Amino acid sequence: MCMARGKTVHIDELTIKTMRKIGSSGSFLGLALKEVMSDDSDVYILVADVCRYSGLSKVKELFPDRVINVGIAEQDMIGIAAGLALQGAKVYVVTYASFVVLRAMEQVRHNASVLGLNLIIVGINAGYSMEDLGISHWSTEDIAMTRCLPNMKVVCPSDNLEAYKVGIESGKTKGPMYVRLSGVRDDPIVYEKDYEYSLGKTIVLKDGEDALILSHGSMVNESLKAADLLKENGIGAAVADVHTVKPLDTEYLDIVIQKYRMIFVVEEHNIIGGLGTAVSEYLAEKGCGIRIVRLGMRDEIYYPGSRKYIWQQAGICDYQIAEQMKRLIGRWDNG
Amino acid sequence: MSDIKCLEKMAFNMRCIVLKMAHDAGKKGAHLGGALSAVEIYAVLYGEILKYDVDNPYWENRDRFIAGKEHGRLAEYAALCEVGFLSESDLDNCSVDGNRLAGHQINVELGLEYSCCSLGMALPVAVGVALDAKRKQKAYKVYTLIGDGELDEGAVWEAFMAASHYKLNNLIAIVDRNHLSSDGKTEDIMSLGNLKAKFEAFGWECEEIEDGNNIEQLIKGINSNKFVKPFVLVANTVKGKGVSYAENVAAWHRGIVTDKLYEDAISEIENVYGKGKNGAY
Repeated sequence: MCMARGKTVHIDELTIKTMRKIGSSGSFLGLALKEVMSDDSDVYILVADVCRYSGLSKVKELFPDRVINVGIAEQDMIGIAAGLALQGAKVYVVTYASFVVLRAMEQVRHNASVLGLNLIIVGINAGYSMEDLGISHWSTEDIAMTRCLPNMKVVCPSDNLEAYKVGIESGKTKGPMYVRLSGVRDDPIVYEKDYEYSLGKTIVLKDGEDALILSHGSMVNESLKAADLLKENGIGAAVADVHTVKPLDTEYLDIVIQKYRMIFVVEEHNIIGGLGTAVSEYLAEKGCGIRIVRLGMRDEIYYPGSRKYIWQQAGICDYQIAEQMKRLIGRWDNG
Repeated sequence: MSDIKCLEKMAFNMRCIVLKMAHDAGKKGAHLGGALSAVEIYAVLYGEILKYDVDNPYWENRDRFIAGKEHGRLAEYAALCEVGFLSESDLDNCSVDGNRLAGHQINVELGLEYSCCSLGMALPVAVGVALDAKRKQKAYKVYTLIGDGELDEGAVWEAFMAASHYKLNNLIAIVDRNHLSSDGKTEDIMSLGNLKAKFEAFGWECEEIEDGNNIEQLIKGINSNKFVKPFVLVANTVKGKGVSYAENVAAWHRGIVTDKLYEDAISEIENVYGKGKNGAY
């Protein structure tokens, strides 16, 4: 299993299953970046004391002078990364999503966005995946904050395989990028077989005539399950993985607005500023009269607990997505 | 002229340029105080210490200067003009919309390796540049200038720790210790205390000079670096130096230089630093 030196090698199903054990950060950092680092000697990874939890330990052993632990100092990390990048290197910065953007937002804006340096900002354990560690460790604003920065790409892979593929792609892209990793160990597999991935291109996972669900990250699997529940009720819902929130795949949106009257956007993020907002902005400006429903954190504070418990409060578990869709589609159809 | 005399002349010219640019800014006002305190520091850096080639600005072995305390950038521009990175017309047009100094935060051709007017950003970047140079075994050095008010920012201290942790003996910081920030005396607003002791406690080699507006002291201070550890020079300066109405006056952090104030300042500088002093310049 590898894509080293530009050659695409088929990834078998057993490997995909094995990937589940390491979580999306293990796939991105431990597997993909190991290859990126082997291919290019001018790549650094800076990490704020999370080598062990991010899956970087092995990579640090292999490249001790290029995987640099800066301690628990996110602002300093982005600044140091900028210094390395100024001399031509590509630099990954890694820590929990809740800290890498929020704590160091100004450093990110200036060094990554304004200067357009080759900085890849990797937020691990995004969304509610830190569960009962609580609100301080949740990341539900990071897409909004990075999406409004010029030059910044925002990518949210939906499972381990996709995280790995985004990692390989990140090695080839220029300029700043935010990678939001919301997956944890043993998360469900979305892609059971190897597939072609390209940044910015939406992947349709399920067809359906009645409504469309757009989603990213951990909510792709939940949306697929919601579509199954809807099917039992005679409603055909399509599901698409919009892994690249920015640049938005407008080509795809231009096609689907011909086909659907309602689009549901489901994400583990505040409904303000995320993919739902991005899609709404684009379609409102088009003036096509399509209805968009955003499902996610409803600008409220939830109680810490298991991920499922938090999703329930936000109304984004599979059955809740299905119920809301059923109700709204029914009401719409009845005029 | 001796080298010291040349640098004093350079500082004299720079001070005039700073005032002219501040005057050109008109009613918008200009960050005058912190530029005037740093004139000699910039003169020594660009006139004596830094290795660079104006005709080959991307020369690989050039020393990297990462500017902090960008409220002092009028002095930085004045130095870049004195050594030929910038032309006088660049400075004349500095306040005009669309001029080539505006907006471009990095422009190595103009001598600007990095720039950010927000405080606390430069030292971490300098640490990154120095780390890269160490790993790639480059001979060049990395310099940065930071303000004393800038030391209030926490990210600066994160970078002080990182530099000593990674043994960056190729990194040299200068602190323009002018004892004032925007609202008043640093010791009243957020006391910095014994900076030398703080820096040494953070694992840096530190030298402090009494008069950071004195060319000889600055050169001696910077050259006392033994290159065993990251090195910081604390240069005690006077904010607004050379213009008596602005000296040690916090309000001149940013102020409007009217026609009258401009003439007063220029004649004072000429008397003290220029014609009046040995008639040299």
